[in-house]
Amino acid sequence: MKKQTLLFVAVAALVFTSCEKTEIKEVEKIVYANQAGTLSLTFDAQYGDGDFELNKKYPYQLVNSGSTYDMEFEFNRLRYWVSNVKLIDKDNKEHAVPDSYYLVEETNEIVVPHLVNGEKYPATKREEVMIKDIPFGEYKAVKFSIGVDQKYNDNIALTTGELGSLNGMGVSDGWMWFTSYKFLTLAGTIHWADGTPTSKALSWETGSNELFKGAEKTVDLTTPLKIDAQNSGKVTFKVDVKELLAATDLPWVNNSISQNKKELMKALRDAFLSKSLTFKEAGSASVEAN
Amino acid sequence: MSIKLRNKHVTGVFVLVVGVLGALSCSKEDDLPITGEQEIPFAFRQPVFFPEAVKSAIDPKTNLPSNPLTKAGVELGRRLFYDPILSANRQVSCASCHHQGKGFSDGVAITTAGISGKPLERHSPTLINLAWTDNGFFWDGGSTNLESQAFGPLTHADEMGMYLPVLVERLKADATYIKLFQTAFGELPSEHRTAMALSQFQRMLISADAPYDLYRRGEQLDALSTGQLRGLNLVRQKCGSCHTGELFTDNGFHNNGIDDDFSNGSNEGIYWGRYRITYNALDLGAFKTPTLRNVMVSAPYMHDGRFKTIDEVLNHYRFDIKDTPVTASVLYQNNDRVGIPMTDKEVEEIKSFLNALTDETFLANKDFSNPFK
Repeated sequence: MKKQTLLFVAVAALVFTSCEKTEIKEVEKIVYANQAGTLSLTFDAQYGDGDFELNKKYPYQLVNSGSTYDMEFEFNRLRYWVSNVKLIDKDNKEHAVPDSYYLVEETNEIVVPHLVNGEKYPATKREEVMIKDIPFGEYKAVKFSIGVDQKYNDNIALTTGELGSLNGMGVSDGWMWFTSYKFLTLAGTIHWADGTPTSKALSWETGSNELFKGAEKTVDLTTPLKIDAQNSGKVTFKVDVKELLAATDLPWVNNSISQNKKELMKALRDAFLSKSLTFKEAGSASVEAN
Repeated sequence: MSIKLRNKHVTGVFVLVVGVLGALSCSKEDDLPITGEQEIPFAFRQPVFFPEAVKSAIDPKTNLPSNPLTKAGVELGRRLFYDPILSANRQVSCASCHHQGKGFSDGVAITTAGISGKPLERHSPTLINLAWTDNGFFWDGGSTNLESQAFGPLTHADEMGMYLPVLVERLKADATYIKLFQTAFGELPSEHRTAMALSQFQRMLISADAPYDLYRRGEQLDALSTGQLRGLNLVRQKCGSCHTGELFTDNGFHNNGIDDDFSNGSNEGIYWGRYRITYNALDLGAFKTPTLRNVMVSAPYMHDGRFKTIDEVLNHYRFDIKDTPVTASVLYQNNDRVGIPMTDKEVEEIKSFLNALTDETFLANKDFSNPFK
């Protein structure tokens, strides 16, 4: 795929850094004419107020039944499918982006478990999704789902967008779940800091057709986003991993969440949609013929 | 009779309609340049009395079946099925555990024929009339369709252990496969087309020419002996709730009382059977009903191959069914007590009939055999 670089010439004066409230960032110039009608969606992973980093121990205080417990969370993988992107224009009309299935991920190298030849999936960080051919217009909201809808989830031999068993999310590195897709994965280690230090693998996953219902998120943009021949759009979401941990009061007990804990899968999905994922900023970049 | 496609790239828009040698053509077809010819000399066979076959999943983009059968697709699938290039160590093919002469089962309870040499967790199932399997594949139904199922054995560490990117590399480095994939799909080799071709071949594995079928279709009225006819009635009466109809399976999942302890949740719940998929308590220990077709050549039996002979199986249903809260209710045929009453004579008649489900035409069909030989 042709790599296109979006050059934002920052207008420092317009960048708001102090408040948490989202602001539209005006950004100038200069890209390539063929980027007209493009939209960039960035899912910026954070942990609380700081950047989200793999292999770093984050202190976490669990308050449970009146007691507090000191724990640490260390992550090695965050992955999820963003799908069925729709843009809502100022007249409330929905524009569905065709074949919009994107894998957002931040992962350590994965040794593919079932191999004799020791193949490895390389460490990967991918937070930005570039969407082309957006109909020109002014958009006031973005909708998308976390996961894969049934028609594709039931048949991993069908390919569209980034779906399929290759390209980094393939069955080879365990991205298959009863021959369907895992929607969201958070993995790593939980350390019990009190008393005798001990640790447990953290493996939280969501999936299943049932869970896809209710997996849609609508994010309102504070100011309409203009996308046309002169302007490409950029929307940034914050994905706060710390908020995901609120999916359960008993992370030590529920260190593994999967198909056999449907309610916790739902809680994890809902924590992602309603707490973890929030709008950060949006803006248009003007585009000029090069 | 044959249908000709004028362009090899439009195979995807053709659908073979069950029973009729019909084709739906895409309206664009006439506009496409004529670049090659491809024959589809066979229609999918829809045996009389069989229910309608399951088509491949609808492709959301075209609203047509995503994997229609073509001659080139089936041939490619057959070659892939028998080619050990599909395994990590290039020594294991699908056919390593699916032998045609045994109804595409393998004759052992638990195979060690995979790349690791370690025993698998379940018995290799037969591959018979899969085009009518409408309720999931694997012993627990964990795969919704044949295409997706293929990725299981392909990638399992103890089966073919394949890393899919490597599989694609290998196939793309093979001139024969490049040509075969181009002919079948108009594309270079890929992992998903591999799964599709394998599925096409497996949908062709139709068994409908056993003595029972000849009798059923009125082609040979003496194909069944008097004893076999009595056996047929007994099977319908005593086994027919699960081994239903012409397929001799309901494609369902039942706990048939071979175990009474389901506490072992290890190995990702592999011993739980269908429960592992549905997490419905009533599905604990439930496994898929295998077809009775070719049953006499496909021993051993059950999802773990625990019964070596058909006598052990029948003995189980007569005397040894475990009475548990999840045992299938249809097995309580003994005045509401568990068990299927059968006399010794009835057992002999049932076995005699089961022999009439052995389809020598299927077991020896050269279209299904190893193309490398």
